[in-house]
Amino acid sequence: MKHFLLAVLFAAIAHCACAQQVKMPSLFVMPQVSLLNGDDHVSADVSLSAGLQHNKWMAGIGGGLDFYKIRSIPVFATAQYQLFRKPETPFVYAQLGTNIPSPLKDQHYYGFSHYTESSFKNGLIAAGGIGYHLWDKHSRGVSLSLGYTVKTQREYYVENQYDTRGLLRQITHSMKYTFPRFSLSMSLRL
Amino acid sequence: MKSKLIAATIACCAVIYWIAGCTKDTTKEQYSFYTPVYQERETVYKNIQTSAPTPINRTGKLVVKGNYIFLNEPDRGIHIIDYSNPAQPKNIGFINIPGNREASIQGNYLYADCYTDLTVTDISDPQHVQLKKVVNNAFGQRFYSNAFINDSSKIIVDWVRHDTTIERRFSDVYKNPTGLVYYVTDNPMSFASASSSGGGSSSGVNGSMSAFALLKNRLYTCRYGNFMVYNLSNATDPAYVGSAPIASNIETIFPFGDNLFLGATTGMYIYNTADPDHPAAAGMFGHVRSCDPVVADEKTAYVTLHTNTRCQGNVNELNIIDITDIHHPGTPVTLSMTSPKGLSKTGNLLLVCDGNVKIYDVTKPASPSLISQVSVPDSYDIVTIGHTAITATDKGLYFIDFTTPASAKVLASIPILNQ
Repeated sequence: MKHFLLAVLFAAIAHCACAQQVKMPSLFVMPQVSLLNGDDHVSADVSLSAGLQHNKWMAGIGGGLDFYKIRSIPVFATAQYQLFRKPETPFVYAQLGTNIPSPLKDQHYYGFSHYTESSFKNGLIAAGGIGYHLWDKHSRGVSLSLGYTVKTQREYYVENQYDTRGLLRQITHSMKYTFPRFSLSMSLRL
Repeated sequence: MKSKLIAATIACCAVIYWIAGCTKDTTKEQYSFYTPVYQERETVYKNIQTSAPTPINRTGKLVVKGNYIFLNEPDRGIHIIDYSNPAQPKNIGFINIPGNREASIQGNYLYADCYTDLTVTDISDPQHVQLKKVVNNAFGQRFYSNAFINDSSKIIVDWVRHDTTIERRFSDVYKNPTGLVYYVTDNPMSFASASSSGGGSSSGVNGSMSAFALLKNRLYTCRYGNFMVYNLSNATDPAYVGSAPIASNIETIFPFGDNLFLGATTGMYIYNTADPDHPAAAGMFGHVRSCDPVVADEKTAYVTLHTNTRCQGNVNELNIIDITDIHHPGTPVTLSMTSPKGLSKTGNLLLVCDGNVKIYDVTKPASPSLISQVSVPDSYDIVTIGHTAITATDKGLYFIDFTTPASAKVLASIPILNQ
């Protein structure tokens, strides 16, 4: 994943460098907050992404904190394409990365006859959507976007089954969670 | 333009809330479940004999007699291991006793449970053991935490594993909103047996996790909150003497001198066997809810409390209790531990299964000092014979030489299958 993110960043730099001799790509830093609306649940995430902007393209990497149901830390590559070459413009975006679980204590699964804390493994994060740069001055501005995002993660726990003589057996349960959500985001471009 | 954008944003919010109802958080769960394989009782009894050695799949409790270790494999039977040379132990045979969890040895006879039945087997020649007697329904029916109900007319000889995958909504499985934890509240069947300290010379030596007791020619077990007493005057024909009420949730029984030390989930109970047919409550040391194997000598009882079992509780510690007056056990000295389980006392040394095996000098029981630790991960039951400790772990059976306690080391091991 790390290699993939680096490759995206270098590709973006290389593309910008080759395509435009005159205007060099500029750096951007973009903090973002999102309202996540999913299956009978509303939550939020915060993230920070950074990368390069050139012409209609923005590409970079980011990370954040996703509070939806089971807290996690998404780390992703992001790309954005602006439809027009003007300060206020619609855009489309996509993100892909790894979702690192960071559950709160009460977000672990507790089943019957289960006395040990479960463990988690990384999953995927993917997102895509449309947005609009509301205003822009010197390439700085506020953006609103509407998107669809999916995060997955795995949780493992051991179920101890007993009978009246003691431990009968231990059974490992593996659960893959998939959380599709719609997101409404506001971001600043610094 | 701005007002249009604001209107568009509000519209987006409305759309999101409307279409979000279409999303479904899903859980794809993979696990195994087991179905029983039954056999008629007579067929099971016919097969209780020594067969060729088989790999150890799972370790259970230990009994040591002479040069042989009888290692229980839960619900399958008993492995016979010749350790006449502790550096090169040999797995020499297997006694097929379905449903077996506990065993004790007196003289040449092995007393072992076979689900609800008590079996008596002649082990004078370990390679050719002979079933001598079956006492039906010596122990109560088992209850299962997953609500499984077995066919009590037959015996479960195996379980068939089925792997499965199910998919459901996340909200259907995520968390138990009541926080309810299900556990078996019934008594475990208990059998206690002669220990290294408490038994006669002809008896085998059990680990402290044992729940069988042999003392004064009696076999003590417990069932549904009662002592079950069997008279072994005729070794091949245990005679049921009677029962006496005892504390509930007994897990282990350790005999020493005239007393039986019972490890229960809520305390250590001491019963006197002046009248061996009617054990009488003598003293009690209460503690928080936990599993608690116990060993004792004339003046001191050692109790370990650990978590992560059906006993629940959140304490991991060793309690050292003055029992000079067994009617009024003293205030315990407490040592914090990782997850202590079985323990064994020999001379002035106390060996405790606490992840690894820890060796303490308990010359002054009130101030034990740690001499050394032997790296034996996940050890849970231990027996000491001379300067050799035999410990069962999740990984196999380990033999420890502690001739020099400060430099105790693993002599040999028999790993379980696939380790």
